[in-house]
Amino acid sequence: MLPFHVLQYYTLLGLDWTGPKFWFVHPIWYFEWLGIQRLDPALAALALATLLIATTTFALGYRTRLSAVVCLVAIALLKGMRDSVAGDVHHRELVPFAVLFLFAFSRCGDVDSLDARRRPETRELEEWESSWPIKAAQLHIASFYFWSGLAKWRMTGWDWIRDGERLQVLLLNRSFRFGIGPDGEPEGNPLALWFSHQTELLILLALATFVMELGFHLVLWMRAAGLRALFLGGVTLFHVANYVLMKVKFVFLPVVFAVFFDLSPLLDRIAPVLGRRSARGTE
Amino acid sequence: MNKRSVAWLLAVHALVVWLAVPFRIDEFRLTWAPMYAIQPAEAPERRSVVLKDRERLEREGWRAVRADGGEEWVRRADLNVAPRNMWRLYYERSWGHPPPRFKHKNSGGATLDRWWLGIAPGEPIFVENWERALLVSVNETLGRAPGAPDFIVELHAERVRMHFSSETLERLPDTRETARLRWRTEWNAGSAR
Repeated sequence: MLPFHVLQYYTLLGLDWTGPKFWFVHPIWYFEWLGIQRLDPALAALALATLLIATTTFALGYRTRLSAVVCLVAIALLKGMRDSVAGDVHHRELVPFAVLFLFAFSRCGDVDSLDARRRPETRELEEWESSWPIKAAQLHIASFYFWSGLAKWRMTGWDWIRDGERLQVLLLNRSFRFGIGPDGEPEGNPLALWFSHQTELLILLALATFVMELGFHLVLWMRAAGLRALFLGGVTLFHVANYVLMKVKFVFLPVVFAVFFDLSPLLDRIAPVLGRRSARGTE
Repeated sequence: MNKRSVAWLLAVHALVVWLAVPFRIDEFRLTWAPMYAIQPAEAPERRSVVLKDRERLEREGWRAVRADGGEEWVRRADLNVAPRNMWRLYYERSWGHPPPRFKHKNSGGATLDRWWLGIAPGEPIFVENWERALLVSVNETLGRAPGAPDFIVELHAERVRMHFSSETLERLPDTRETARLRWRTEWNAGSAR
């Protein structure tokens, strides 16, 4: 998650630490409650450094649950400082935040971790204790996509699909929003401009987005690891394409798929094949 | 935690999170509505894109008029905000254009959240005076109080909109738009927020 967090908040590092502290135009709800009115660039940099350190210690299993709580506080602070400036609320931390929240209540640091080495006498983990945070995280990730599809449906209905107009507007916007360069090409991604001309393809992509988002819960019932990998691979491609074409910063989110949706049976099946190939290669 | 407390935690968590769906609570960390679903075309016969002139925001920004009649530029560096935030402030809020979640919340007719809040179907739920919010923000950031000669009473913004035909996406003539935000004396008495 380190690159994910950096991508979300790196812009806050470009601010002048000793410069003016911006008075928020529309603070996020918990800043409003806490009376936080200004963006403090030095505090933002400190919070980002803390988040990166806590993410590392969480991954290593050092003071795991405490690290999860520190991550939650740092994310809330950073997100508040970034989003309160103009009143937009970006939801890219929704999945990591929910997962860390659930893990903070679990025994996630009790095995295969630095914590386990420090406290070898810890009671053995029961099956339900290790599985509930993973199952809950799976459900939350699937729900995250479902809510997205539901909101799209509520706002646009069939217009999202009908003539590809919504996606066309988005792609045009992302390719031309910084104007036209000296070579006559849009300053944004020229591929986005090419896509904006492909109406049939846009309709297909819009339909696929709807199906993927509204049907994401089906992945919870997919027993074949290959099918699961195919579906999640498609979603990963969706996020990568969104980033390349439109700079939508969910690009590192698919890391949660590899963590929470068990793809090990597929790897077990592939590993011997790869092993045979590499053995043949060394002969 | 024992099995019972985990079951309670998950039940309460699921209840809170899923209740937010029918009530359309798009607040972190409850449900979310994507920002990208709310951009319909300006008109059926054409598509449009607002140009974001990054250099202009660094060099000039808003043209501000002070209470003493003097003028100055308010650039991104003066406010010390990230470039993306500056675009949103300058190219969206200056024109009273709200964040997408406002549009999500205010859309629709007879919704459950309107019924709960006692708001008539179709009436907006989120209302914000962006003109005032922006002027308060700029003045507070620069440390200027109402009544002071250097208090900023007007902000002027300008933007270019590119147009394309919806049939062939052929370029049509651009249009230039201006926004003028003006401080009203009745706002002097109110709190900053």
